Amino acid sequence: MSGARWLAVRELRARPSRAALAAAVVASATALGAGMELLARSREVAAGARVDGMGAAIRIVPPGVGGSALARLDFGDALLPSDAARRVAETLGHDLRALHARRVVMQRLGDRRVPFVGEATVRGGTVELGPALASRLQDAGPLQVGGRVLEVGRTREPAGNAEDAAAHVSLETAQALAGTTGVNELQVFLRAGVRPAEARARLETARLGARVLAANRGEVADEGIQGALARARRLAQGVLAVIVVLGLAVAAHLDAAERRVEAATLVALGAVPGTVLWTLVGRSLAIGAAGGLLGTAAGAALAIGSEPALLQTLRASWPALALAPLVTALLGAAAAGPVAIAMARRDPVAALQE
Amino acid sequence: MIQIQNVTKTFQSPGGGEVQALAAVSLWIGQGEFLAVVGASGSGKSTLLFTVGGVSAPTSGSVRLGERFVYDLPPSERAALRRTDVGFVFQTFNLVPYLTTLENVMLPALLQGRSRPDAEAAAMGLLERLGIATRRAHRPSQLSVGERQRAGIARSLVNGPKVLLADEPTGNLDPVAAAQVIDLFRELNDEGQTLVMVTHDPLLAERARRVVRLEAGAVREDRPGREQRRAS
Repeated sequence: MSGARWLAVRELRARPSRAALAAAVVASATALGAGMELLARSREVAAGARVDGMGAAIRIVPPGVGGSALARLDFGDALLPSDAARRVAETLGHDLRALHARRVVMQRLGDRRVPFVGEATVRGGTVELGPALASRLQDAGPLQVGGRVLEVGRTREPAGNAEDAAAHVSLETAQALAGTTGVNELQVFLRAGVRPAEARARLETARLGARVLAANRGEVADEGIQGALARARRLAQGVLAVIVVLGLAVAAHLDAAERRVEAATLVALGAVPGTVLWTLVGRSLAIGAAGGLLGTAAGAALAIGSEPALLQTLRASWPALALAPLVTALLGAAAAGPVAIAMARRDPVAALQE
Repeated sequence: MIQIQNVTKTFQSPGGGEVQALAAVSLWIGQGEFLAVVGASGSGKSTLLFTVGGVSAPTSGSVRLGERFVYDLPPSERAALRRTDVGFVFQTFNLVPYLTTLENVMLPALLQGRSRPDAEAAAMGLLERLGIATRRAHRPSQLSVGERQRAGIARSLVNGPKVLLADEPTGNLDPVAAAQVIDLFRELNDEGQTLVMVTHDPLLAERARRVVRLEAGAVREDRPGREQRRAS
């Protein structure tokens, strides 16, 4: 096979123009794919942040908590199993974007019971008020609750549910107010394109010892938009892969036609069919890899040029970018494979007598 | 050395019928012979050559090269036999166009798995011997037809084959270059190289030590060449 590699390298070096043309086709398609992918990922991050603002896709609560109690954020003393968060992460794997643990505890504030929601995002010693609660308290100064004084921070945007009448504190504060550690709600945020209904079904079969609920955040519309985006990306990537394969297959076909006598001569000189096959496949593989590498670099550069903020998410995208030249190299080998096999199997005598 | 026994070869013609290229050919070619195969176009000369060289399997019959029956070998061993025991010279030279003269001559040695320095040394030795060492860095398109055929002959010799099979080696050459090639073949043969040469030129054929005439795929004549007859 070393003779075949030597031949393939010599051929590429001696006749670079046709190989460069084929690599340019691959590079163009790859640049388009890489650029689209990067821009789509950037949009995905932005859209994800907006969707997160609408709330979690899935809520996981203790088994005894019913619908009306949940609507009032009244969990009572029920807690989730201590391994629930770990098992949710294991079950959803890569589809999980974020998992927020909450501890909700009812506290008397004046003449009413108010849900105090403990969240990791709230700074200790402060309280963020839902708009309805803020309006009722009307700038009453620091809150005194359970023997603690909490500075009032920002007032949250309206959510249209019981959160509007809740006080949001740090997780530790809520646990201290409850007098026990542990959490009674997990909020599941999914990656874009992952269907909440499917993720829910997986969590339900995982036997978490908890209720798995759909969050009320217009998820049908979200699923529709995200699903359409994912399908459009897959379709575009498929079309680009077909362009790459067709381009390389045409190049391999032309190459095989031109090198018919050369292949027959190699057979007469004692080359095994694998050597003849490799002269075409190796060339196409190298063109695919080179085109993929150039295209990925060009696509990334163009995408960053059009949206400089992409630089911040580039690190997260590098595995997909690194995969592109490998994929185009394999597509190159696959495109040339059938032509090369046919060439290696052809009776050499007719070509030798031309 | 080479034993061809009752070899027949039939092809499917594009029209649907069968064409018999070789009809029960039997020949014995000894070590150190210089055999010319002559005959009209379509008489089966080249088919016989490629059958002997292990490139085209006969429809029936056997070909023995040394101690081995060529077509009883599995394809990989037959390919190895072509690399080590057989050297081909073609009418159209069949040099690889993107390789230099030196690289073309090195090619069979590299296919054989020899190291690059070893292949290069062997190729350079042959280029010097055949008088085209100064053209080693040129591509085939930059060589004269005579130089191309010399490069083709050097390539056929680089692995030290037991037999050299030449298919119309002078067919594309001018008379002077053709005579030089035949002189070279005679010289190689004098050193013990076994040669089988297919040609349609009866005058060149007479410079071989033995002449076989094929007609419709069958051996019609098997006699010493004219120079051989004069010598004896």
